[in-house]
Formats: sequence, structure tokens, C-alpha cells
Amino acid sequence: MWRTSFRRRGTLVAASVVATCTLVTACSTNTPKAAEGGSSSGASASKTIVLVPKQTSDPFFTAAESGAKEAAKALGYTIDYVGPTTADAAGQVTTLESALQQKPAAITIAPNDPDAVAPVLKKAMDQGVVVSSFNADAAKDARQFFVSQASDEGIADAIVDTMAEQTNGEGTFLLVTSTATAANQKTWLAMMRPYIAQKYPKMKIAQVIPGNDDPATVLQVTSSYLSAHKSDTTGVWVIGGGMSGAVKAQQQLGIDPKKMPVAGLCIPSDVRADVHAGLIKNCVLWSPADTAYADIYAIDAMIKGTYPSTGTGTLDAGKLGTLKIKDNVVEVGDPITFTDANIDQYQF
Amino acid sequence: MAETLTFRELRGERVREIVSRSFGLMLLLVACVVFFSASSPYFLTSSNAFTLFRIASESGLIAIGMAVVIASGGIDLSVGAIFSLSSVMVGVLYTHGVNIWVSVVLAVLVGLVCGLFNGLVVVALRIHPLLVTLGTLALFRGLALGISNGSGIAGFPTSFEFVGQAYVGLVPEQCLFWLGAIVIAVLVTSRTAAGRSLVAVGANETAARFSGVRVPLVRLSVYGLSGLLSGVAAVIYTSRVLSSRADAGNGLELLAIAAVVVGGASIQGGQISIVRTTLAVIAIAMIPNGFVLSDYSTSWQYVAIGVLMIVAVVFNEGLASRLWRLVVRPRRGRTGTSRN
Repeated sequence: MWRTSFRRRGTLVAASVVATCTLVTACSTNTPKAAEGGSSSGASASKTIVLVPKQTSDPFFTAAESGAKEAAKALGYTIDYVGPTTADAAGQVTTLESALQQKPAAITIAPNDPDAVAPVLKKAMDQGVVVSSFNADAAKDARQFFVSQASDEGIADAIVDTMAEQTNGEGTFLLVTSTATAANQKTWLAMMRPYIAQKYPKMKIAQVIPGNDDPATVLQVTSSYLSAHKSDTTGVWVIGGGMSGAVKAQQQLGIDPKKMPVAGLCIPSDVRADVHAGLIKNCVLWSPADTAYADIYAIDAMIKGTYPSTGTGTLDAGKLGTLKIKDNVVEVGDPITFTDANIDQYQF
Repeated sequence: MAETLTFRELRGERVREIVSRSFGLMLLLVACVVFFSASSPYFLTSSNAFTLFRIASESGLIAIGMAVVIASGGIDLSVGAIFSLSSVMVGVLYTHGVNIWVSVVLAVLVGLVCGLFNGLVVVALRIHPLLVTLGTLALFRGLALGISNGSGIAGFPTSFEFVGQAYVGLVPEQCLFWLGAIVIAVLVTSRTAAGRSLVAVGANETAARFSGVRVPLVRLSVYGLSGLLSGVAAVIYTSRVLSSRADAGNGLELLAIAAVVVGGASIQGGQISIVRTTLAVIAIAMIPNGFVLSDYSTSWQYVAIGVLMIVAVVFNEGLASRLWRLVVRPRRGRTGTSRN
């Protein structure tokens, strides 16, 4: 008999807490409902733009945040920078589901997985929230437009040209990518090959190895490759993250980086010391701050109705001037080449 | 001391035990609700409550399985890995031309089989479940990665949205699955012989065996149940995001264990409360949700989760009951016979 009663008391405590919570929740339902009614004429009543990076702690995305904030300040919005702390698709979905509760004016995201975020983005669009993607695209029917950092062709050409000018357009090269499955790496490589064949027929990619966007892995794979191919390698291309690892590999093997150039795509914070020391002459990337800046201008155009209804046209993007929009892809422009002279202007 | 207690006194002890073990949890719940309501006007709304329950139902289902496993004196570290394997199975089977609902049933069965495999190794080889499930964590997630080749699978039919994206009135579909599982689990653990056997095995295995409880069967079924619930949660998740990836469910095992412990159960087993575990799941889910809605930097949410969990466990495990004795004992008198 005592068993039943103690159980009742225990359940009672739990039940009363649930009841209290529910009661409080139920009572306060009215206030936001009223606000909801007001904003039904258009979610644009809100001035909040939710910006979801691939991961919050990546300096690349904190640079994007600062660019977005600059544009938001000029246009009268506030940026809510929220997202997962590791590059996790499910974390982005959960974040967005919570963020939608505050009925933001717009959501912009750099998706970790174009399909996993699609359902929640579609839900947001159904609620009248402007949805865009930047840096990486979401499923096409799950966003209104995509802000492309630089055209893929422009990036591929710049990767090739910056190396060619250091080796007189000839030689045999190791190429380190990010991961084997990354879509952007495959795209760039597919564009680099014909460009090399046509413009620099004496240049040859000897091997392609993934470096996982990580200096330690890049160091390890470059080092293994170069210990076997030290004499017949002209230079090392790195088109994923972690370029500094390639320079360290050369140093450990006693190779002078000035004689075997390292070039390709880089994150300034990763290679800043090497660029200043002359170990890397130049490397290429786009500016995440400019991408996010243009993104906020495009969102503003969408909210104000000045965004081209056909999906093709132009966008007035503040300090970046007039940008082209093609099939709902906003093109921010050419990639930036970092050198000793300008790298300190880019803090990411 | 225990030998001189009457039933009535024993009841008093149990009530005190329950209250003190719930204290940290209640503190956590109230603190979260009050704090986030004060910092965001969007937090305390029915719409956000349902969003919260929607997000929490996957970990909630898994936490029920974990509560049962921990009550039996075991632990299951492989739930997140089973979750990812089941999720990948839905995608792989569907893309190979299997009907979506058949794929769903098979994926749940894969979860069950994984769980039974855990149970079998624990029972037959008498290896500590911590080691067994640590191994199968790597094994199952490895299988998920290998089968999916590390890439995401998408392109599910719209009818599949029913599981994880539909609403019944205001209530998200998956909350009904969760509620159903809670009701069944509460009834089974509190009203049936199976429930009593479960707690008996966790409290004292030898005594349970001598009382005629089939200990190996109980062991096997708890891991099977845990795997099954992970499989169900995986299907809900896959439908919610309409894609499956091998990295799904990273860290879910720790979340589930945390919920059980914050809910006041002893990590040593022998105790179970489905209701308190569920409340703990909700409390823990409130933190990331509240952080997003209050415009706090989401990078700090783990600090908040960590601190609140430690506080809750400290209260559950000792400080609260010590305080209770300090305050209550002297007033009641030493003998305890005059009580009630």
C-alpha cells in the first residue's frame, strides 16, 4: 500500500511542475499572438536578419558576420548571428527552428548540407520570411537567392594564374584539396584542367590528395608525397584550407619554399606569417565580409520589392557598387589575391 | 536503522528521497523558464513550446531507452551511432527502390537488432556494457559512414514528411509518438511485473536472481528497447530534415545520459522515473532554444548546459538531501514514531 502512495506523491510533485509550466505558457500566449496578427501583412515588420554560419567559431564566418553587420547598420537591420559550434547540419536545423519563433525579417545561411536545411527553410518562406544562402548554396527551391562569393571560373583561373606566374607556366605539381567529396573542389578542379591545357600546356598535375581543410593533415600528406617526389616537383597547389601545413612540410624536409612555390586558395589568418616571411608569394580567396555585405543588400532589395522579379538583373550593393544577378545567383565579383602588401587588410 | 522502520516511516523516507532527487531538476526547470522568459518575449509562447517539444522528441525517445538501461544497472553509449545507422538505412533502402514505409520499418528493425546485439554481448560474454557499447558506438557509426560513403542522401517522397513534419492541430506529429512512448513506459515501469524486475536487477542483481527474475532476459530486452527507440527517433529525424547523413546524432548518447541523471536517477541503477527524465530532456533542450531567442552568443550555450547540469546533479545527489535533513529532522524529533 505504501508503494502506491509514495508513487502518488512523487508523481504529484512532477505533475504540479508540468501543470505550472503549461499554465504559465498558456496564459502568456496572448501577447505574441497579438504581435503575430500585426505582422501577418508581411514579416517585414521585423528588422532582424538571422545569419546562420556553417559553424560559429570559424574566423571566416565571424568575418562574414562583420560584413553583414556593416550593411545592416547602413540599412537599419539587426543581425542575429546564431548557429552550431561544429559544422553540423542537424545543429543548423535546430537553430533555425528556434530562430523562426522570433519571426525574423530574413534568414541567410551557409548550409552544411543543402538538403537537410531545406524543409525548415521552406517553412520559413511559407511564413513570409525572406530566405537566402551564401558561401554554399541550399537546395534551389528552398531559398530565394544565393550570394556567390566569386564565380567558379574566376576562382579556378586565379588559382592557375598565380602559380603559373611563379614557375614560368611550366612544371609538375602536387595538388592538395579539402575533402574527396566536397562539391566546390570538384567544380574548380574540373575548370582548372581545361584552362591549364589551353593556356599553360607545359604545366601538369601529378597527383591530387585530400588535406581535410586542416593544416596538420596538409602537412602530413604533403610531407609524405614530397619525401618521395622532392626532385620532380615544381610546386604545391593547395585549394582547400590549411595551406600553412604545406610550407611546414617543405621546411621539415629542408626544401626552400622560395624555390618550390606553394599557391592556391588560403585563409589569411592561416598563412599571414608565411606571406610576410616571403614563404608564400601570393594566394587567393574571396572576402566573406563582402559576400555577407552583398547578401544583406540583396535581402533589403527583396523586402523593399526592388529585387529583379525575373531573377536576373542588377543589385545596388552599397560600397560594392552594382552587382550582377543571374538566375537568382548574386555574383559578388572576382577573387582577391593576397600578397605581403595587402594581407593585413583581411582579418579572418 | 532500516530494521526498526515501520512501513509508514519507510514511506516517509521514500517520499523524502523522491523530493530530494527531484530538487535539482525542478530548480533547473524553473530557472530556465524564468530566465529565458525574462530575456526574450518569444520564449514563453505556445508556439515556441511546441517547437521545443518537436526538437526534443528525438532525444526524448532515446532518453526513455537510456533511463531503462540505466535502471537495469547498465549504460548504452551506442544510441547516437544506432540513430545515424538507422537514418542512413532509411535513405539507402529508399534510393535502392524499396518502398519508403518498408524502408522505415526495416530501419527501425536495424535499430532493434543493433540494440539486441549490444545486449547479447553484455549477457553472453559478461563484458561491462560501457566497453561493449563504446565498441559498438564506433562499429555502428562506422557502418553508417561506410554504407553512405560519407555523403548525405536526399530526395524522399513528400508522403514521408508525415512522420516528422506534420501537425495534428497545433501539436507536431512526433510529439504524439513521444507522448505515446512516455505513457507506455510509465505504465510498464510503475504497474507491471516487468517494471519491478527491471528495477530489481539494477538494485541488486543477486537478490533479483534468487527472487526468480530472469536477469539475462531483462538485460537483453533493455538494450533491445534502447536500440528500437533510437531507430524510431532516427526515422523521425530523417523525416524532419528530409535527408539522412552518417554524422546525424553526434553526441546524442551524452545528452540522453545527462537527461537521466539530471532527472534524479542514480547512475548505479535500481531507480527509474520516466516523467522526470522527460522533464530533464525538456529542460536541457530549453537552453539552446533560449540562447537563440535571447540573442546570446550560441558559443556559450554549452557552458550554460554544463553549469546547470552540475548544479542539478549536485542537488540531486547530496546537497539537497543534506539540507532537507538539517531543516526537517530536528522539528520531527529523533525517534520518528510521532511522525504523521
